[in-house]
Amino acid sequence: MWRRIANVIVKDFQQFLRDKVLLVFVVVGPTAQLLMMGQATASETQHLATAIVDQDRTSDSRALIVALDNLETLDVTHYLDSAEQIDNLLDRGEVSVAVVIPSGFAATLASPPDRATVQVLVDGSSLLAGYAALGAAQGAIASVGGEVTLERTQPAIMSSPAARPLELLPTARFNPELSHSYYLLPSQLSLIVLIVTLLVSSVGIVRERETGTLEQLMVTPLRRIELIVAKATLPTLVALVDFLAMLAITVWAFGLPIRGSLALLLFVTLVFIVAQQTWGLVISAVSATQQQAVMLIFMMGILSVAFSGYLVAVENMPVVMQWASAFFPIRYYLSMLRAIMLKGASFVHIRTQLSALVLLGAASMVVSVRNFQKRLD
Amino acid sequence: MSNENDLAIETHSLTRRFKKVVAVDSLDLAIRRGEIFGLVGPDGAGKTTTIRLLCAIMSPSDGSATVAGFDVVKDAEEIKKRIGYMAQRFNLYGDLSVMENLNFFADIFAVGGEVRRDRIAQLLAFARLTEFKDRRAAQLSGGMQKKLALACTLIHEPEILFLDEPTTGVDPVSRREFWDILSDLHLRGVTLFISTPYMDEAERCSRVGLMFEGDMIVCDTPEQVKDLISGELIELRPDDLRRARDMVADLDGVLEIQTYGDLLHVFVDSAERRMSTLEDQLESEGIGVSGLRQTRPRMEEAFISLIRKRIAEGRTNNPVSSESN
Repeated sequence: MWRRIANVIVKDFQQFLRDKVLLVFVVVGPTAQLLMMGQATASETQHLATAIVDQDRTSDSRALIVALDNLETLDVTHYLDSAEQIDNLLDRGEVSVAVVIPSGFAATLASPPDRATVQVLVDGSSLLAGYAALGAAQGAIASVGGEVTLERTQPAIMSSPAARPLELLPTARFNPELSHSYYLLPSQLSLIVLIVTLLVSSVGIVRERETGTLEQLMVTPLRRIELIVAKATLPTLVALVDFLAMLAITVWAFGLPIRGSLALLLFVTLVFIVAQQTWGLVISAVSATQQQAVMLIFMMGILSVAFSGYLVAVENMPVVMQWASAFFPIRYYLSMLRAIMLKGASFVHIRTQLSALVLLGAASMVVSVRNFQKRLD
Repeated sequence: MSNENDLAIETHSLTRRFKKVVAVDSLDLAIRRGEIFGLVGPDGAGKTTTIRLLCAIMSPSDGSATVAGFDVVKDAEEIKKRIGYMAQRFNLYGDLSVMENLNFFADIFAVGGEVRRDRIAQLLAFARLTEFKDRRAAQLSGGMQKKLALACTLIHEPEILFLDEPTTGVDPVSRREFWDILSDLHLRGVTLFISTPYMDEAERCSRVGLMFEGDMIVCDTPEQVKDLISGELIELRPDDLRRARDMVADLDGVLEIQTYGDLLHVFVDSAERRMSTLEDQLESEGIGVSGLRQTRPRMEEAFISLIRKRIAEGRTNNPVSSESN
């Protein structure tokens, strides 16, 4: 049994290494995508043009301006005399952020019971930049002012600086810089693993069907279960290697942390790959040609983006979509991936998600394995 | 028991239905060990389905079949150890070399050591592929690919070999080579079950079965099949094929007319009596005639005739080739 499985695996590897297009897709594609995405999201939230209205003009207010300017996120480009000029600059897109330091800032800082208020206006039409600027400004303000309250108003589009000031101090845990890469790269990582797994596994089977070799294998002593195990091995290894490579890029090139255990991360990824393969089996079962398989994978990718919590948190989806999302392994995987990498979650924290993933994987595996017959009908 | 052992393949009312068609309809077959059995019939007759049923890779809807003494439903895996199957489509790994393909199938069938080395060398020589052994299968010519596919299905020395249109799309020279290999196998006692659209190949079989719309219309030796045709055959080449055909149809003693390219094949009750009148009639209508001769009906004429008869009997709802020419 193991010998025959090994025979098929060796053959699959030979074929895989000779399939230049698939190799490029699996190696170059994800690397390029990840690098570009990382770069783009990093630059989008760096060196944002910032206008300052210093109505205080004290050493404290200047210290705050220096602190803001020293942030990588913000570049102070304009010093304005009055707050009225801000709207104009924001409207024209010359600045993305404006900070108003009111007169009396230093005085209130010096008398503790009072709370100093600094107004930060961001261009809300660029959400990422806005969040990044807010996050960064908070850090700077907090460091200078100690107990400083940030007055966050509606985005500039609403443009009424006098709107009700909110007395709140949002703090982002796990991602103190509110860096978008922290949020985006793990999602991208999970999608890459998903696509690579699906592609290598279903192409591996569908190609054999297309060329008729699957029919040929059916008349050999190779058992059904042997064929499935053998056919699952290559995609699993390829996806795992891809994951490690992409993880290395996110960690070394973009500085994402792995706060939890690497072993746990790998284990969770392996479970995800295996669970995802059952979808690969389903796709192979219904596709007559590789072209059809690739189209289904594309569709699956889009659905997975929707259901993974990549764009919209699952909890915020309509109930029906929440149910549907339960069938997509990536939903559980992405939240675990983020939890382990960014929050340092341990097994105890993710066990619910992990059990759900294992359960889903096992159930769909039973269904798809039973449907994968060593017969043509 | 001894009688049973003589049979390589036996089916009883073997039936396979798909959603809308009955691909194989109550097939009864008995094929002795060592036979070359040819399955002929137009496209869609059910040839491939029959072979798949016998290779135990498709389940019958009804009826039963035993291959090499094993039931196709219960003992599928036992059958697979004893048969070789070459599907109609190219069925090798194009991105693997000739040698790698052979080695892979040897691995799967657990043919190892000395035996494997000898057998692969033998098969390569047999298929005249020795000098191409490191070439990728996809880069072989169509004929060579077929021979390689055959070599791969022979790696475990099967008792029974199923070949589904093995020579379709193969040039005549390779086709002849291929049949030389098959004859060799036949001499070694391998049972061959071949489907083919080529009538000249059907003539080489020890028995042929004509399938049409899932039915076995006739199943006999090529000679017997040809004897089924009524009348004698006159062949001629008229100037105006269409007019000649319409005219000849009304003549006395004409049983059936088939066109064959430029040629007109006329079945008559007696060639001796009708030949001259036929010529006279055509000439009087101003249709020039050349190559007029009596000839032996071939498999092709026999099959067309049999299929037409079947259609005329109205036992079909799908007039595939009633006016095929």
